[in-house]
Amino acid sequence: MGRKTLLASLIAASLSGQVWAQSVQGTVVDEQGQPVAEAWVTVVGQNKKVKTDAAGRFEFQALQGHHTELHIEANSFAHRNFQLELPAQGMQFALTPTALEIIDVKASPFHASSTESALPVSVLAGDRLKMNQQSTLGDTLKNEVGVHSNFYGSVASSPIIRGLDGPRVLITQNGLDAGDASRVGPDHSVSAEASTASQIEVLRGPATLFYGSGAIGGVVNVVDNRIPTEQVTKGEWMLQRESVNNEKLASGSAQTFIGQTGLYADVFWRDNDDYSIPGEAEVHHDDEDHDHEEGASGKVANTAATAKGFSLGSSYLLENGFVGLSFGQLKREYGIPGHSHGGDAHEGEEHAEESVYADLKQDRVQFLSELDLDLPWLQTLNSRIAYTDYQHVEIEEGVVGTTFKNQSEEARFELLHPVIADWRGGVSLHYKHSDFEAVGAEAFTPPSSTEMLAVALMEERHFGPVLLQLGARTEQVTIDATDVLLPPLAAHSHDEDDHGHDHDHNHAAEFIRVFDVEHKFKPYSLSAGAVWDFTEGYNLGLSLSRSERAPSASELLSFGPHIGTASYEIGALFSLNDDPHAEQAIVLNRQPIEMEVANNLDLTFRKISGDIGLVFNAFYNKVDNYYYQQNTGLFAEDGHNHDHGDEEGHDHSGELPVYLFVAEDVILHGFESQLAWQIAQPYRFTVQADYIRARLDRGGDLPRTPPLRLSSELAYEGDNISADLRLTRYFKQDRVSELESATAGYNLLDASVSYHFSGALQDIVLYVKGENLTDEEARVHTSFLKDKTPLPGRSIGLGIRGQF
Amino acid sequence: MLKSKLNVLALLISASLLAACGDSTTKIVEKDPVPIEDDHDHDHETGAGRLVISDKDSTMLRVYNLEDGDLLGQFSSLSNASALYASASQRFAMVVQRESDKVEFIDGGLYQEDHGDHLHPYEEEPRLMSLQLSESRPTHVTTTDEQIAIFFDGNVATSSVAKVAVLNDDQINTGSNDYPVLTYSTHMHGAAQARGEMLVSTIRDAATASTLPDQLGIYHVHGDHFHLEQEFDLRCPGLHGSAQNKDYVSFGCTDGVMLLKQDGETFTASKVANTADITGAMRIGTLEGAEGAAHFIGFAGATVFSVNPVAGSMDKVEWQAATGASIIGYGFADHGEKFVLLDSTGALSILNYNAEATTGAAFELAGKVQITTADLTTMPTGSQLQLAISTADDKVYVANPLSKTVNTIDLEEAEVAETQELGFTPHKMVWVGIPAGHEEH
Repeated sequence: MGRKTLLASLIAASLSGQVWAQSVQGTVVDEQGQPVAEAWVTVVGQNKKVKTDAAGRFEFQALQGHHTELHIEANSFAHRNFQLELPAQGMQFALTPTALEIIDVKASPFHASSTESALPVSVLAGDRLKMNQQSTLGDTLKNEVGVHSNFYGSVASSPIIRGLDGPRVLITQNGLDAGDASRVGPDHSVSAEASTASQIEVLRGPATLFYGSGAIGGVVNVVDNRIPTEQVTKGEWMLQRESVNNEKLASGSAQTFIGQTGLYADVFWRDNDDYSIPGEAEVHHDDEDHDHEEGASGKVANTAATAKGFSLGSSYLLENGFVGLSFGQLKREYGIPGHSHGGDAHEGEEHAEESVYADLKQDRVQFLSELDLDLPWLQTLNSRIAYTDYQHVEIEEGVVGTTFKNQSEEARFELLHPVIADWRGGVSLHYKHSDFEAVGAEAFTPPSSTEMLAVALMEERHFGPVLLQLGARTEQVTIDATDVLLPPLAAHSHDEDDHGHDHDHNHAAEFIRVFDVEHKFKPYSLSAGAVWDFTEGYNLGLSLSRSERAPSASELLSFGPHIGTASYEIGALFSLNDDPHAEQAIVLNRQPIEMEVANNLDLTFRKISGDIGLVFNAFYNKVDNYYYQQNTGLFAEDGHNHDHGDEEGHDHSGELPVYLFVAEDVILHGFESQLAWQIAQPYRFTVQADYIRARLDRGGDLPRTPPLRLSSELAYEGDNISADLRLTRYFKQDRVSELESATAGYNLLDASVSYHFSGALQDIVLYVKGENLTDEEARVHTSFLKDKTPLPGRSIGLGIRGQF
Repeated sequence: MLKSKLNVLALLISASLLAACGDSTTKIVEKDPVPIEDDHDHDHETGAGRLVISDKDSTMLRVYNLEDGDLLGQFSSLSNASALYASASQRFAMVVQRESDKVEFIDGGLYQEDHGDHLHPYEEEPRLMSLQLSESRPTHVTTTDEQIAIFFDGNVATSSVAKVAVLNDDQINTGSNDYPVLTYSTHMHGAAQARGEMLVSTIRDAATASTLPDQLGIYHVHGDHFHLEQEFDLRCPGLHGSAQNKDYVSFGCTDGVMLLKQDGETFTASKVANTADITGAMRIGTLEGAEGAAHFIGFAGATVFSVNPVAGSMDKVEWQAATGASIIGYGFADHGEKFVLLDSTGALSILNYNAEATTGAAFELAGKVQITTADLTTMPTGSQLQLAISTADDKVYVANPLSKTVNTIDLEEAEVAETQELGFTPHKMVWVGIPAGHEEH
């Protein structure tokens, strides 16, 4: 009997959702009381989402609890949250227009947009994404506030967020690690495609809470619809040609459904030649009178690329969510510029650049699901699982030089509880495993396996006009490498007066020491954020966080020449020999390996509604044990056998400077601001600026820090014609690290005109766009190839795209 | 010395290091160190290649990876292979089945593609190609870097006429039948050499009794067939054996070696008459040449001659043949710097080739490797040692049907470097893979 009662009460509890079911019915209107159609209304904390009809109406049935919070978003209106008591019928929800462009971020389990979150985010989507998309992710995002490109000769640029990149910026695709090798070297391309993406999100500042160690500097999330989440039929396609590098692009995607099954496919192809430049590719700092009769100007050699890919996906669309699976493949071949061994050509010899290129292939299987379970303890279960098989080979003179492989699996589950005492949130369980391998002449890092297991808690609650967001995460990271090599490094300083030891690399018996290394780290992160709507149309955000990062395998274990950075890289597991006269310049580091700790403060002021919108962020980020590469002043062989005939005795070509990963305390601070002014209906004027200062605590600056940047844009948005004109000023960067040179400022003028019309059952846009219209010679301070590959010259792009 | 030093080091390595700081630990265990090898060896850049070996007792063809000795694939041909040849680029093995009038092709899986500014290497699984050539009695196959000429002898018994098919690796790859064919009006045991759009091929007077031709013609391709453009008055009685280099095509005749010198589209005929070294019934019946080699090498039985087409001379090559030895395998090796001869006593003779030699010997004996000391007279009927030559490095391979093994011979060291068990009786063997580039080393 007692058991029966217990059972009965359990059933009652599980049915309680329905027993107390409540409904909301209302209309979304603008300031004048006119209905707003096509607005998305979401029940916060539940996967319930509807679109308003032509009369602005919407309705939810069977909601949980006595009160609920709705989030309403619509084009050119500020997003708004409404809290209400249930049931609520016939209510009006008024939205205020904004000059800012606001799109929700999908990377976060909470609602986040450029106007609503404590952490600054921005989203590139829609027409702006289509117009800005480039063959590399870095170049696609380079006009976003707070984001710069590390411009690797246009072939492998990846985004820099607030001066951070590499292992500190996580690149994800639909919320899961892109699983490529781009975090290891600037010459490794990001395996995500912008032309088929629906939006690209940038989380600036520490996002370790959701993503773990790799996201201490931020996250770039490339979102597409490869797993359909709604029953719609739609598609888009584009064809484009650029003049500066003869880039031809064709891409398209389509989504439909059969009954409850959603189907998706996309495909893209792009191909470009070497790009043109106004001046000469290489900068010669020493003013020797080189005879440049070979005419190095005109083009940057080895920057041609060709890429293609597709993805297929299907999902089962349920009343309470979806379950879906997708497969994607991406292939890319691209030249690696600036990889000339042998240095200056001898007189009369042709300076033939070695043809080095990378051949990349990635297969990716992804599983996504969001389910509203309405259980008393589990409101929503969001699951994301991916398997990625990545490989790229670097081919020199027709022969495979180095092969990089990364096989990774990742799974993240978000278990969101029902609203408890007005708190929304849940637990995230996260697992990631990656087998990384580099084999060949420039395999600077040994094979390693990295495993991460984490649990995180995220909660948010409204206290009147203040939204409070709290989070904590604990993680265990294991890096296993069974064959870490310590070769005898015949490194030497070029300053020595007499070359005492004569580079005899072939002693009768030299040995490479081998170590089995296991690193275990337990980083944790804490964050607190608040957004205060202190008056209608304005808010103030504050975010405080303490994040820890386990150094990556390549930062710890590297030992070898690296093409991409033109340096001999040695990981933090090793250190310089204290005895300067010892035979071995590098020995095993016997000091403990510390984790990087970032303490970050972010302040945001926003003016959202009205004809003038403004977002201003200021940040202060103190990072202890920041791992970076310090120039040791030593030189080592670059791993290419250049001694086919070393007739000239001592020749420094074929040698690379030795950089050692060391941990030091650094401070990064800066600001980003965006002002949008809707001058009159079709005209909008935007000004944005960003600045960062990155310095060592003990004095000195970090290398490749983005310069101050100021840009202004005038946009016209007519019925059939839209156009924009943008002028960006990159200021001089003279805060440089040791052995780094200052970079001059430059202006870039870009413009585009689009003609919109309807035809063949779709909306078609015909456009022409111009980049670097003044054909300015521009060198990118954040690029490893600053002195070798300037930005492309003037380019005119012509394209057509359609949407149905 | 090296080994003792290693042992000392191994003793030292028992210490492990454990460093910890707060929430991070690092465990390091030092393992045995590895000695540094002299890595000035470019041979492995395009890989050691693969071997295709046919089975004496079945129609099975097996493909082995020479990097690790792994069996990569096995395929059944329609009938037993009478010969295996490598295709023009050495990607494909041509499986010639003379008795059943077939030629099949196996893709060795290693090849490179011209990507404009570089050659892109590929490493794929071997496979049997769809293309089959079905003409009467395929016999002699000759190749250049780009073309293959397959001579189908025809068959008097079935009144099949002789034909020559000229194809390239692309056609094998795509399974294309659009290669041109030269069709004769009679059968013959002939020989053909492809020279781009031109084809040098033999002509036999149908009225004679011998199946050997005695005349040469220049044919020009016209779509899917050839037109005879030039016939030479100079005869080559009992023609057998042919070879070509950059400027010359050579044919073995009972009275000497006939040469055709090509200058643009013009061919001029001449003959190097037999010297006093050729006595009795001896004649040059086999010729070998290479694009980059100025000399031809010809065999009259076990007597070897170097033929200098420019000087019009013929010199005996001293290779210290064992008594009763006959030549059962030969070819240029080690990027054309050497010539190897495998004889029936199981000895591999390595000759250095000096292309510049105008006086003195162009081919000089550099060493001999005794592949086996077994009594080769107990060899099964129809079997003999088989030679395959790598164009990727300085290795050659000898298959031994008695011991069912393949030996790897390092020509630099002049020794058997490795022996691999096969587990079946090898019959024919050919090397396929990516030839080393012509760059200097």
